[in-house]
Order: sequence, then structure tokens, then C-alpha cells
Amino acid sequence: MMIKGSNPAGQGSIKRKAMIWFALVFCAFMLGAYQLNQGAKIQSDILAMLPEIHEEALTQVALERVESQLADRVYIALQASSEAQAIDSAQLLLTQLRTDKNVFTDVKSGDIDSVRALNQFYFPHRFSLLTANQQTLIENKQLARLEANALAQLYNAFGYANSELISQDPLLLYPDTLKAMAPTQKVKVAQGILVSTTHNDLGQSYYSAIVMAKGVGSAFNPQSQQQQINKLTESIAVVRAQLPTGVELKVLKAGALFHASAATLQAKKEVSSLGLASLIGVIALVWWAFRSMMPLLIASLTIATSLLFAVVATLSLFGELHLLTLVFGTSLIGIAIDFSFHFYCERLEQADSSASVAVTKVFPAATLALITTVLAYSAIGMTPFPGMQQVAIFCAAGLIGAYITLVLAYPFIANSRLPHRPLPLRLAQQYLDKIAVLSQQGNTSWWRTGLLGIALVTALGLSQLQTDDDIRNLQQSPNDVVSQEAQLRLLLSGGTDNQFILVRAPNAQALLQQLEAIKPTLNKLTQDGVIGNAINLANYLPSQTTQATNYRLQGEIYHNIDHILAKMGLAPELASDLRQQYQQAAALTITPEAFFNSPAGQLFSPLWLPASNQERDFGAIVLLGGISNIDTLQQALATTSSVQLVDKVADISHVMAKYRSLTLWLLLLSLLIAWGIFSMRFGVRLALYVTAVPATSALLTLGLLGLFGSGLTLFHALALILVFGIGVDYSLFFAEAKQGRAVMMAVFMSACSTLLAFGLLAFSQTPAIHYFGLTLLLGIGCTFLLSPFVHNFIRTHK
Amino acid sequence: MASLLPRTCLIGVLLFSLSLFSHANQSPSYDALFSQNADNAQLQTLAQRLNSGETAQGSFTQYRYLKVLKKPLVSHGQFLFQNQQGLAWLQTRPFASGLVLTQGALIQIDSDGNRQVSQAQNNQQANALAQMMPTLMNGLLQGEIAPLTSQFSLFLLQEGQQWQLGLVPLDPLIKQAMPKLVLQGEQQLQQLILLGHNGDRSEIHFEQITNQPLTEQQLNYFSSVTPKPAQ
Repeated sequence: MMIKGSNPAGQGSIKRKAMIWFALVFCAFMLGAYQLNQGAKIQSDILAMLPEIHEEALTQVALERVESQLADRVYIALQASSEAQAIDSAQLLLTQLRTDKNVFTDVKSGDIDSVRALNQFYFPHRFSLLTANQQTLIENKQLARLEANALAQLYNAFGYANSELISQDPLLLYPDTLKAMAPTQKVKVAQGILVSTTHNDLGQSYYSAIVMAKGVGSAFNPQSQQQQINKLTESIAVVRAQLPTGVELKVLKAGALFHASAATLQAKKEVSSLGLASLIGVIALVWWAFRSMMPLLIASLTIATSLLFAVVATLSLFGELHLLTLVFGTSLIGIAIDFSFHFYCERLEQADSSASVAVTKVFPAATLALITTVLAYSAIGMTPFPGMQQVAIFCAAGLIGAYITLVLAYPFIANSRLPHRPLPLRLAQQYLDKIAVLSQQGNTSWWRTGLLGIALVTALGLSQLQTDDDIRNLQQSPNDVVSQEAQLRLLLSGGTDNQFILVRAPNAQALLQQLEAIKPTLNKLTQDGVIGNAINLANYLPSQTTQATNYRLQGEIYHNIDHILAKMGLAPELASDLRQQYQQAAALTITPEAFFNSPAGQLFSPLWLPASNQERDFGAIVLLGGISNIDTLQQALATTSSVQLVDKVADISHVMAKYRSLTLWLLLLSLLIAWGIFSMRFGVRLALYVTAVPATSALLTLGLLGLFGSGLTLFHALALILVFGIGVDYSLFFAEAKQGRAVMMAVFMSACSTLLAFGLLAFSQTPAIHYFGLTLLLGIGCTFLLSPFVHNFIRTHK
Repeated sequence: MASLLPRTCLIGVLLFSLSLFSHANQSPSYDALFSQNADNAQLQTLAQRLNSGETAQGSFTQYRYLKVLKKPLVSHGQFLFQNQQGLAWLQTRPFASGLVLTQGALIQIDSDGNRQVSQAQNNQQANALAQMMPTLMNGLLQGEIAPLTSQFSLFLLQEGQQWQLGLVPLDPLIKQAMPKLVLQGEQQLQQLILLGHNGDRSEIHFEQITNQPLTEQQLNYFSSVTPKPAQ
């Protein structure tokens, strides 16, 4: 292989190499600029990074329907102690939000026109509509009960009975069928505004006027997110400015926008606080070690080249760069910076030689590290997981960038002399000497204790290690956002959850019958509190069979209409007209086509999935809200194959689990690959020692995570892969070194800078980043402590 | 992840639109009243005259004139009002039934004395009409006219001791169900007239209104837990 060290070259060769490096960087830069110009973008939607879940065609259509209904919607409640105030404020907010059609569309509250449309649609079909209770009463010949109910309504001056309605529906059956369509309503429409009334503990009433809107851009797109937040803030400020003095208005907000915005704010805050801390730390460290800013400058140049290659390679292959790839991928700075530190520590060791000499010294270990890590990352890139492919490509390309900078550019650009400074090297030597004493053969008792300790901690930790793949735990929004959403949910009778039921059948009527068949199950689940509510099309669009039954049952009323009118004291002249209305309605039925094309049914059309060229079956979505126990729900529905609970959150969590375990296996595979490569250079036995450092670090890190009770996620696993890369680096440099102290110093510098840059992420409030940082913190800490032993083993066993 | 979708919100509103088929056809006798916008000073005076304290109770006779009825429906009963509790509307003849409206609940009592309590919160749209009664009562028995102005356009006619207050709901849905209301009286409230479409009309005559405090038994009607109080 190529691991043999290039000869120190003459000036001409050095310049030529530097030119090649510059040309490569220039090309990469132009390629990157071209791609960004072509519309390559930074992707910040967390879901885009996850593997594509291949759902069956109808399920996929259903998921897209539900997502397009739920996505990018915002819900605002304006709460005041006076109803008029709440309504006025909501009307003003509606006007304000409608001023810019590029920010929000579909801005609405309660809509009277659609109410009218619903009523106009259903009323002509009243002879084919009955509630379950009405059906039972008529079947059991208990018409007297229906008459008594109607009579009670007639006596109620504040009820809905009027001459117009009675002359078309003498037993007032129709109002009850409407009521059955909306069993519990916490909201009403007043002056075109949805209003919900609540009472506090003191019995005071609060009125919440609700406004809904759909964001034009995605809530995860930083630009449209900012626009939407700004528009809302301005509009609410206008509403507040119009309030009479002394009137209090409370604003509740809900929607993905507010979660996304809180996450952005949090990230910005952390980038500035954690980023500043690590920057200051690294500068201080370099200054302390070298008394020169030159190494920092060269290290920054290396990292910049590395990032440039990484970004350009990722954009070329994927057309976009995920924000999380950027966050995780930048950890490769930890590896890239190693090259600079090893180079500079070598120069400090041999102050009189040129940069070319130092590069030659570092070359074998750097090359071996590059090959091993790139190979390991390629293995990760084989997984069908867009996010991990990106991380792998990003890291591999970034390392190549850093490597060619070291080999091609350093001899030219990093040739200036360092001030004489023996202190750090002396300290490094003292540390190595201590390690040497500890690992001497004679010192077996300490050695045993140490190994036993590590083994014990690892075993204990691993036994307590648990996994946590629920993606909901990765998104922890601030309490304020969560509590506002919970309050709004309460106002809107539970809202709608991301899980839904998909029902399928070979044709439309069979589907409606299937939907009717699950009604009792859903009712029972609602009664038991397993779900809060369900929106089933069967309640709004009865099957032809049910309509025919209802029509036949109502015949009991209209065939005896004279008798009934007389009993209720109604005018006998109504009879002939009523009989005629009933007969004329015989052929009148609600068909799915007519329903979904009517203004009334349009509201429900997203729930209906007709058969198409791609899909032979008809499908219907049953939306669910307030799910309290998903397992019970799953069990209750498991009886038929045509009814399926679609739970994308669970599917994604499941995939996360799969890739977490896959990543850990890949880590094992990477270790084996590394061992194989090392064996070619060091022989099997020594290679085992070199590989033992990253392997033990990984195990110990897992053990410590277990002890800390941090449930293992994909993000822990991803960080372990980086720990592996850095661990390979450290132990290789020690293995290659003849004089250990320069390596010791470089490893110390590298570990400190990496911990400063990424260990600090452990203090992040964003769970995914916190997990990542914590794992790096523990992993690099372990690697740093373990790797010097390699130096000793190699020396004693070579 | 979480999203809300008040999809069925609008369905509840349907109950209101039941009267949408009707064409306006008003009883002409109140045209004079509904052309007289009430001004604040007049309302203030009326409010002072009517203010009769925290409690009111009395009996009523209700006449329902509907075009489809062979003869008007006449019913009798008692009403109880307490400003902290709400309103109980208890029909005794021709059959017993009741409607109790409190801050948070609506209690319906059927002819067998069964009480059905529904949280007002859970069916706000359907109960909105019923909730108009306590608003009216509070306004008239307590002389609190201001809350009425936020829900109705007000009209006033006065002739000596006689006064007529006309109300037109502001909310279009309520207005469709109940286009116009007329209250009339002298020292006390005497009549409430509800004018519907197609000449449908309800008249409620109040008698023997007193400000006697409610008895323990009467207060029982307002408790949503007590089963079957005495008729």
C-alpha cells in the first residue's frame, strides 16, 4: 500500500504541490457556488433526514392527505372576559392576517355560508336520515315517544320548532339527526367567529375567539417561518392597540410553526453562547501551546478547506444539505484539526527542520487514519438512510479535504518558524512517563484494578442501558408552547392527532358499509376514553342500504300521518302535502359524488380516497383526536384487515430504532475493518492493541450512558461513530510515533479542542444535540485517557 | 407534531339554520316600535325603574301561535330567578317540564321528572338560544341594560307608564332563528313577545312578580347533582 512516507522535496516541488492544492480548492469552490446558484438548499425539516418509509400506495396517499390538512396550520385563540371584545378582536385579527396573501392563506374562523350550505344539502334528504335512537323507536312501534318529544319542543318558545319546519318534518326528526352529526360541541359561531366559553374556578366566564390560518411556506423553512412569526406578532400588536384601556386580552397559539420557531430561537441562542465559549477556549489553548497565532490560522484554513470539500461533495450527491448533517458533520473538525496539531507538535519537537520534514513525519499515521476512517464512513454510507448517507459523505469528503491540505499545502504555507517553547512538550513527556510507570509489567496490582474497574463500570452500565427511539422525545418544545397548545386543544374538543384510521373496500358502497360497521367500536372507544373523538364519514354520508332502511322506517310515520297530526293538534291540511313530499323523496339518495361535490361535502372530501389507476380499492380516513391509549386502540381495530391504524410517528420511531441498532453493528464492522488494515502494517497482535482503544472507549461510553440513564438513541450511535474516527486517529498516531511526547501534546490539544467545540453540545437544550454532545464528551474523554497506553504497548512489544 | 382540527365545529351550527327556509313575514303591529332606536338616556331611566333586586319569581302563561296548529298551545308555570344562580323555567300545565339555565350547565326536566344535565360548554351552539333567556332576565329584572346592547339592537317606545322594548339579535344565526323580540310593561315587566317567521308568534305573560328570596327547595332546582326535586 501507499503507506511509506514521501521524501522531503525541493522548493520547486513544494510550490507545485501548493498550486495543485490551490487549484483543487478553487475548483471545489466554483462547483459549490454553481450548485448553490442552481438552487441547492439547506434543508431544516427533521423528517427529511429520516429514511423514506415505504408505505403501501393507499396508505401513502392517505398520509399525504392528512399531512397537507394538518401541516402549516396555525390556530390562535383570543381570550377576553367579554364576548363582544373577543369577537371584535378576532375580526380585526382576521383582517390583519389577510392583508398579505404571501404569508397566510385560508384565514378563517366560523363560516356562516358553509353552515347554510350544509343545511341546504341535508334537508331534502331528511326522509333517508335517522339517528340510531330514532331507528330503534320506529322499529319497536314506539311512535308515541317521538310524538311526545316533538310536542315538548312545540311548547318551548325558545326552541327550534316553527311552522315552516313542522309542515315539512312534523315529528322534528331532522334536528336530532343534525345533532347526532356533532355530538359534543364546545364551540359555537357568533357573528361569523368561532367562540368557546369557559369558566374559571371563581365562576367567571371567559370567551375565546378562534382564528385559523394556513402558512404559505413551510414552518420549517427559516425564511417563511420568520415571515409568519413577524406577521402574527404585528397583527396581534394591532389588535392589542385597538383594545379599550383596562381590557385584558390573552393570546393562545398552536401549530407546528411555534414549535419550529422555538427550536430556531433555541439553536440560535446556543450557537452564540456555546459557540463563543468554544472559540475563546480554542484560541487560549493554541496561544498557550505555541505562543503563536500561526497554528490557529493554519488550523482554521484546514478546517475551512475540509468543510468546503464536505459541503460541495454533499451538495453534488444529494442536491441539498441537511442542517443536522451540518451540525453533526462539523464534528469532523475534531479530526481535521488533529492533522494541524500533529504537524505543529512535530515542528515544535524539531524546531530546526522545515515544514516538509514535519509533514513527512506525520504522513504515515495521517494516511492510515484517513484510509481507515473513510472506509468506515463508506460502510455507514451504505445504509438506506438519507441522513446517515449525508453524514458519511460529508465526513469522508471533509477528511480528504483536510488531508490534501496537510500533504499538499502545509510544506508551503506552514513553513514559518515557531517560537522556541519546550514547556508543553516537557509536560507531555512527564505524563507519558507516569503512564509508562503504571503500565510496567511489575505494576500488576494497579493494572488489574484499573482493568477490573473499567470492566465493572462497563458491565454495570451496559446492564442498565436502555433504548429510547420515540421521536416525540426528540422534540421537546418549551413549556410555554406546549401549554398553549394544550389549552387550545381543550377549547377545540381535543383537536386531531397524527394517528388516523384507514378503511378500505373494493367499491364506494362497500366502503360506506365498512365505515358504518366500525361505528360501534369507535363509540365504545370514545365512551371508554381511549379516544376523545373520531370523525367518521359514515356519520355524514350514510350508505345506500342505510338510507333505504331509514326511508322504509319513516313510511310508518307518513302512512299514518293523519292520525299523528290529529294527536299532536296540528292542522289536518298538512297531511296531503307531507305524504307527497315523502313519496317524491323515494328516489332521492345521497351519493358520494353528489356529497363531495356539494359545498357541504367539500369540507370532508380530503377524507375520501376514490379508486384510481394506481389503486383499485376505495379508501376512507377516519380522523382521531385525544388518543389516550394507542395500544388499546390498535387492539380494538386489529380484527379486520380492511381497517388499519396508520401511525407514522410509531413507524418513524420504529425506523429510528432499526437504524440505531444498524449503526451500532456498523460500528463493530468498522472496528473489524480497522483491525484488518492495521494488521497489514503492525501485525495482528499489535493491531489488536491499536483497535482496542476505540473499541474500549465505545464500550465504556455506552456503559457510562447507561449509568447516567440516558436512553440510547440513533444520535448517541452516530456520535459513537465519530468517537471511533477520533479514537482511531489518536491510537494510530501513538502507534506510529517514535518520540511520544509530540503526539501526546497533539492528542491533548486535539482532545481539548474537540471537547471545547463539541463536548459543550452536551449542555444543549435540544435533545438530539444534547445526546450527540454527551456521547462525544464521554467518548473522547475515554479515548484521550486510554490512547497513551498504546504508545507503551507498541514500544514494549515491537 | 401535534395539530388541531376543529373540523366538526360547523356541524353544530346547523341547528340554527333550521329556520333558513323561511321568508321574512312580520306581524305588522310592531313597525312603529322597530323604527324607534333607543338612546342611552332612555334606557338608563328604564333600567332604574325596573331594578328590582337579586331575586325574582312569579308565574307565567305562555301562548304559542303557530300557523300549523289548529289552536294555540297554552301553557302555565312558574319561573325562578336568582342573579348568582340563573333561571329556572318550570312549566306545570298541560304537562310538567322544566329548563334550568345556570352559568355552566343546562338542565332539562322531562314530564317524568327526569333531569338531564348537559354542560353548557359541550354544546354551546345548540344552547345559545336557550341562553338568551337568562341574558334577557338579567337585563330586565336587574335593570342591567348594558349587556343587552352587546347582543341586540334596541328600540324603545314610551307612552306614559307604558313602555315597549324591541330587540333584534346582532348575531345573524340567532337572528334567523328569532328575528325580533318585544318586551313590554309598566312598573314591572308584563309581557315577552317572540316574533318568528311566517307569522309564528309566542307570547309570555308574567304575573305576580315578587322579589321574595328563593326557598331552600326552590334553590334545589339549580343544583346539577340533586336528582328529582319536588314538582
